[in-house]
Amino acid sequence: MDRVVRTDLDGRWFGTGHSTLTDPAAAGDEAAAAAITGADPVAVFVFCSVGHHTAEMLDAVRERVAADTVIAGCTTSGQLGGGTVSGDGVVVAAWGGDGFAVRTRVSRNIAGRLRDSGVEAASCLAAVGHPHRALLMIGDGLAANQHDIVRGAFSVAGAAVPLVGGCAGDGYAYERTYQFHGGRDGVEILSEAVVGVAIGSDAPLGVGIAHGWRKTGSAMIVTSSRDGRVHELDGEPALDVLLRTLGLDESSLDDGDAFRHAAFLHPLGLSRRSGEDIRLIHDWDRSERSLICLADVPQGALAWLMEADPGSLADAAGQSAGQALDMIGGRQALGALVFDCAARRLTLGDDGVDRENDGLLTAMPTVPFAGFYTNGEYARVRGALGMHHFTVVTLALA
Amino acid sequence: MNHWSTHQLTEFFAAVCEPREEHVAITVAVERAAEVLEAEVAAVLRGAGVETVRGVDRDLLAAALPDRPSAGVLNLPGLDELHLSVARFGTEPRGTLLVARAGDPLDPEERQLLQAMAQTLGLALDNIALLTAERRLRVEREREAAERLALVESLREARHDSLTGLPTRVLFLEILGEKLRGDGPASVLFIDLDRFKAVNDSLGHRAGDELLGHVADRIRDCLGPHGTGARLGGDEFAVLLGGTTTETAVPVAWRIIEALRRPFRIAGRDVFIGASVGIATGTAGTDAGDLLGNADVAMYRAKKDGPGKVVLFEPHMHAEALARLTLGGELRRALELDEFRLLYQPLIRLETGAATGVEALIRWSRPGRGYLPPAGFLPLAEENGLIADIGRWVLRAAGEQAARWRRDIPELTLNINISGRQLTDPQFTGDVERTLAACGLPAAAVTLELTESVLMSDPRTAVACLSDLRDLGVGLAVDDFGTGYSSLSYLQRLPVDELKIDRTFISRAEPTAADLAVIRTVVELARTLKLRTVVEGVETEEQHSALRSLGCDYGQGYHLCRPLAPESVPAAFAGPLARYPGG
Repeated sequence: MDRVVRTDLDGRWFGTGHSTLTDPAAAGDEAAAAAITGADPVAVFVFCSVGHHTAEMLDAVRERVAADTVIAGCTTSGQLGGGTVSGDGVVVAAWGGDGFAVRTRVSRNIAGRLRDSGVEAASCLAAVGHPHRALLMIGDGLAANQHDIVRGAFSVAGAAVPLVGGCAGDGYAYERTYQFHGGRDGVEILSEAVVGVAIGSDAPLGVGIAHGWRKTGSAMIVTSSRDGRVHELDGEPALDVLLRTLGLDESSLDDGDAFRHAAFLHPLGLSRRSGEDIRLIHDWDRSERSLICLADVPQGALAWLMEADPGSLADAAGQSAGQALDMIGGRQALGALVFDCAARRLTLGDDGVDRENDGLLTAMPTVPFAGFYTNGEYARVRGALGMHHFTVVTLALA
Repeated sequence: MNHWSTHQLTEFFAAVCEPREEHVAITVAVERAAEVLEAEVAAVLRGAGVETVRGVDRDLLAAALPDRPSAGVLNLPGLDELHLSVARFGTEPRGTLLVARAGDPLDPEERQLLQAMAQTLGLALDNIALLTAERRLRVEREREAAERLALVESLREARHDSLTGLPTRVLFLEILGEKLRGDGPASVLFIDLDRFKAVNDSLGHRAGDELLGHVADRIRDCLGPHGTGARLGGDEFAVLLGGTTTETAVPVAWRIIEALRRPFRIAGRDVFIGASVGIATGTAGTDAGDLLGNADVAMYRAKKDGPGKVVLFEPHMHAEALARLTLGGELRRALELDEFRLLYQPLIRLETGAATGVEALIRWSRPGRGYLPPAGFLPLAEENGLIADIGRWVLRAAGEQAARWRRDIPELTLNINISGRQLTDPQFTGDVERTLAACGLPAAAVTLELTESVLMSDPRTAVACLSDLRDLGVGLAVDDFGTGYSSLSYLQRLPVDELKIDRTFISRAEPTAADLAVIRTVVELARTLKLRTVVEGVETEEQHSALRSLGCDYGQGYHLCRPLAPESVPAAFAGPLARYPGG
């Protein structure tokens, strides 16, 4: 399907570029050239695989921006844009024109002070006074309890400002991720940082959140947990509950990869009024009989084991995009950023990813979009919670 | 409340009860209430208004809320219509936990949970208030206790010596005063340690402190139940013996001296010191300060009489003490007014009868009060430290004089007496070097005389100090040899050139065979050690010829030549002086 990679609506423009050239600088140049077509870009987002995250790649992007353009981005577990998905490559999304303002704030050395880092990252909002605002965050995907970053950010942003964004990846290595922040005069390549990007616009901003999972079995209460470690479900050791529900016996734990794959397909869903927050079961402790999730699972929460079929998972991307477009109230969308969970990409496989892309294209046939596969998604439109896993988050600009 | 709510509440309770400060607990409560109930806004209102809020600006919420908020609809800028739910907590002043969420209002189960959360928060805040009050009280109590302790310590420190645990002068005088206000006599022993300074100087202050601790223990051991020891400062101690007369106090004083004479094991070696004790006894009504002062005066006298003495206070000692004070002042003035004079007693080569050098002797004639012999003021100068200035004056005056003489009598040598205090003064060697250089006098022309008792009181230090002087090139002599119980082993190690045999060995006008045997032995010893010998106090021809025949190198004495005024010295070097009557 031919892709729309740029729009220009009354002087406001949005463009995307996607390059899989192996030379980082050449890839950066190709993607930036495709994305930055309008005058004076306000914001340029760069998402790339580990290996492409070089100063030369970012130099190539910097050559095409204006003096006050904001550059932000991160490494990924895959890029999407221009209708294709890449493992190794560079995606650039840029926008500019009248009625936009973008300000940033970086919080560094966030380990052990995640909540404060969320407060710091969100503080850039104060510099943006437009009628429509959103806080986009790009975090280190290896930070322990990402929910605390959201708590800190929400305490500054408040309920009227949506949160979006994603956590940087490193191609599923889970060793070190990188965040980018800067402008024409230089771009820092950081780790253990949260980059806060305050987006102000004269036109509405839309946020969509979807995952495609559905509840299975009865609701369970998280009767014992701490942060992301679930000790008990309904008073029973959580690992035993999972084994029983999946119809597996103890010996299945001997093959770690096989069990992880099985658990992958049955994340926990935490009850929310607007659906469920998905918690990927990332690991387990055989002696403690506990399950380990990458974000918090609060004690007392109502939870289900979730299930999905490849179709519903893939379709979630289109649903997320549709929600985002709905939020901009029928106006023509200028462009969109997509934050899609890296675990979804693994679970979907190549066919599923193609179907997902098709879903996005179908939902946004005339809207250029780009994004990346994340290690956790930030999204809050309602309530006070905003940390997601196994989810697709879309930010649409009108 | 159902199973789910119970667990939510348990989690809420644990989170809210963890903080130790109110505002943290409230912040946690607001945050958790918003998250659990999925509300856009949550807040706690207390007292004047919105205390803590989440999800919206505080002022916006305050403006949007009615005076007494209750369940209903809340409109806030930028947000959809919100459903407000409130729950009150605590006793007066009451607080309110509120949540406001878009979409659906709280269902009954959620409202129940909000109410339970509010009550939990109220309990948590009560607990924190109690704990805070208790903590503040504890801190206050601890601070007061610490202040009291510090006060007691400072009082104790002023009244008890921290090193020995004995009462200080302040407390001792209080106890003594108390005793003297009662009936019956009381005796005070004033104890001053001998050779303590040498221990401190040679082994260091830490060893000195350790020694003082042991001294205090031994003094304690010598006292019965009615005795009170004290450390007055430095190496001075005192003992109060209640209800005793002088007669009963004396044996205690001797017991203490004996106890302190035994070696102390300090820093891995045996240290020997001693003590001198002055005793004063007072009857009821005597002033405590006066009585201690009297014992001090008696101690001074004991010290002067020699180490290890006990002296009882007698009224005339006050006059002596006063005289000593007066003399000290006069000595200072004498230096300033240049009242000291030097006489020079030639050293005669016994073999030839020729003068080879002179010994400078200090003289002091007080204007209007006449001549005072050196023994009348040098010990006091040594005691009060003035000896250093006097010694410097002597060295310069004699050095300049000798340099002038040596222009005509190049072989003339100069002997100068040095005190113990000068010897151990770290500046002394440098002073000598500079003075001789300033006078233009070669070091080899000068011999410094030190008495045997000075050298032997601390031979180890003496060897070190003498070596420095020796390096300058000056000669060194042991003065008054034979009076100070020299250790022969040390004599061998002392870097000296000359022995001056004390006059007591030839005190008889006609020396007996025994006298001569002793002198012969000393002369032979000196020869063995390659030392010159000088005999002092040669007053008769018999002595002169006997000493010459024994092989003594030099002699001094009235028979050979009296001390001379400077202007008479050149004449004395003009020819043999063996029979020169002197002046």
